[in-house]
Amino acid sequence: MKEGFFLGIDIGSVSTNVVLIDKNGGVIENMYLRTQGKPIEVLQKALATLYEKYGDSLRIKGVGTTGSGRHLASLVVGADIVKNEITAHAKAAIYFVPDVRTIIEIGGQDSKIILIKDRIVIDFAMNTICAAGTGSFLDRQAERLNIPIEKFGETAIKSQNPVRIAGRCAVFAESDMIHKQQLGHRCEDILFGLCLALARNYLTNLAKGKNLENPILFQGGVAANIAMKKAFEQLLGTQIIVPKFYNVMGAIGIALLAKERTKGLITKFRGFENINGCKFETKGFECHDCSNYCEVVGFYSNGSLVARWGDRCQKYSSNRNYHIENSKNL
Amino acid sequence: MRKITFPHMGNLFVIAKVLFEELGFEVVVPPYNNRIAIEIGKRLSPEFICLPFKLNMGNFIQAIEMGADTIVIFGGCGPCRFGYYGALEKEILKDLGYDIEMIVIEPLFYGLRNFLEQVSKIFARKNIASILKRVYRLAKKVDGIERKAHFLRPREMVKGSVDKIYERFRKESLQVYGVDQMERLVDTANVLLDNVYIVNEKVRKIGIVGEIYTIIDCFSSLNIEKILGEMGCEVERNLYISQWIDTHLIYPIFKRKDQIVKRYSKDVMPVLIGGHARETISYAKYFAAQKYDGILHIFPLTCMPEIIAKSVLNGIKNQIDIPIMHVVVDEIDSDVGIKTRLEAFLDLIEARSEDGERGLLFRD
Repeated sequence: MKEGFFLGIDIGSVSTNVVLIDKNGGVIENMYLRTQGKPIEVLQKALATLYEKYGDSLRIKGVGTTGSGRHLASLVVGADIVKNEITAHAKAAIYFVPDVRTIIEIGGQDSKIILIKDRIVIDFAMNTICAAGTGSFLDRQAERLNIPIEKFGETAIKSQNPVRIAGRCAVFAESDMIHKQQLGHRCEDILFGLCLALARNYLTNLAKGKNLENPILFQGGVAANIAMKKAFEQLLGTQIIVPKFYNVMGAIGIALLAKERTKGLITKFRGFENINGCKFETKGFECHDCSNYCEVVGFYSNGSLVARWGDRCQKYSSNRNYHIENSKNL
Repeated sequence: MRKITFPHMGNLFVIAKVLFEELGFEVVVPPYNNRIAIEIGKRLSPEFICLPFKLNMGNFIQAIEMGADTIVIFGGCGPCRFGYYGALEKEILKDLGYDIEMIVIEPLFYGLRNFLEQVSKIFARKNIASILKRVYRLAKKVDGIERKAHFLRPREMVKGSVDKIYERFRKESLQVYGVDQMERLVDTANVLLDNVYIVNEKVRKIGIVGEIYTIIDCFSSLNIEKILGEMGCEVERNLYISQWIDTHLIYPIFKRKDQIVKRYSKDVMPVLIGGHARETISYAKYFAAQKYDGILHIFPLTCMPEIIAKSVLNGIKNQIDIPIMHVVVDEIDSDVGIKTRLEAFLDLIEARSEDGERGLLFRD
């Protein structure tokens, strides 16, 4: 345990993933946790678990953060690299399947399509405005039908005669499902119908006008659902690969990026004790200095201000310049 | 005396304000586009109307509360919904019980008589020709400031210094009166911008195309230009306010056309389908021909012409070898999602380029 490890953190809307890779890129540890609206606490807990397991022998050489909470996470752990989840996912997919051409990625709130050629991203799309057909929606429907989300795929795949459901919009889909349910359709037929509707929605919204070449990778939390995989295979008429670490691919990608970024450099990682012993807090207020009425958010660690963001005029967020200018000591 | 107001659209207020002041009216500038304007607009507008309409409604209500009694807006024709903005807004305000006059200036080819009738309500004064000339010159200058800001943002040494000057200019422009004072303010801003220290960093060039309102107005596009500037990209837009005046007010009189549109739209979209679709496509092709690094296509949700433009751009993807990203805007408050997409877009550009971080990003 002396050679040094790299930490990848992916904080999404639904899940918080932490992976540990060694210097050869092998995945040592992967954790998939529910964010439950408390990203910082969940992250701290995950790191504490890691620390308990390995103790001081765990030498972290580099840390990367990704996902929608990447900036927050980078402030908490002291990240060497902060990258968006699209790049991170592509990185991991290319690492595991070098000749990958298409990545279907469906997470809690986001769905993305990434097209790759010669190991370079050539095009991507991400859902805008609406999140119909993502993990959260499936979660909610499973809950409504009283089926644990882990059993969703197993149940749906039994369907022989899927029901046609309007998947254009989550609200329409739900009311359509309820209608079909009242007609007495079997539960698995409704569930697989829903999977087909969501896959259709994905293909018409995100993949419109794009050429989906083989091999196709399906990753993100929703890839756990075998019925979704089957639905995509049925619609595309081709085999789809679900990689082994499908649900932590973003975290692996960012760990790989961190490994490359910190080559020969000293990591900015703050250390497990410092992170676990710290109390992080976010406080916001509305600025009334101009008619923009920005909502400014401040991030505090043990009561002292670390960073601020959310303002359009940069009065608070670029606080370095601001304070230098307004300092009376200079 | 009339108290005139008008909707916000980027820096339009700078020009409109001095124009009406020179014509001898009192001007009420509504507060900048903000969340409150959207809230008001949302409440009063039809459900699936586009974002500019909602912002317009918000601006009007806020201006009326500040004492305005006359609204001046431009009309339009063609299949885009902008054509009935004026009429619809008039009806909504009437239903709400506001006693205001609405002057909708339709384009010239909608009938000269109608145009003169509407225009005479506001232009019934002195030497119009010289005023218009001076205001037009001012519009060019104001756009010059915006262009300069786009150029300087990725290159400035102290981050945020350009924005500080720019925001101050916008703020102070509310306090001056008339063309002369405004011109002096513009000159000051120009001098300040010229004195910003720049460093020669590797700068990527991004072309912005899309719907008129959302690309000119930085609030509705979630400050994309500023975000891109901070990420180290120089931004070029296909439309500024003075250009809008050129193409929509001056060119039709002389029966001229925008040369770039004429040249690049021939084979894909020879006819006008309304809105800004033809310009969007032709400028996308133009930016590609100019070896830009990427194109950003911004439009409001449910905008018909731009949806067509999007499909056309998808169709000619093989002809123009340049990454294009489409951004749909509506009343989104947080810019986090936009930042993620922009970052990924820049990563994509970076990975494509020969000298970029390609090794780090995707290859082992």
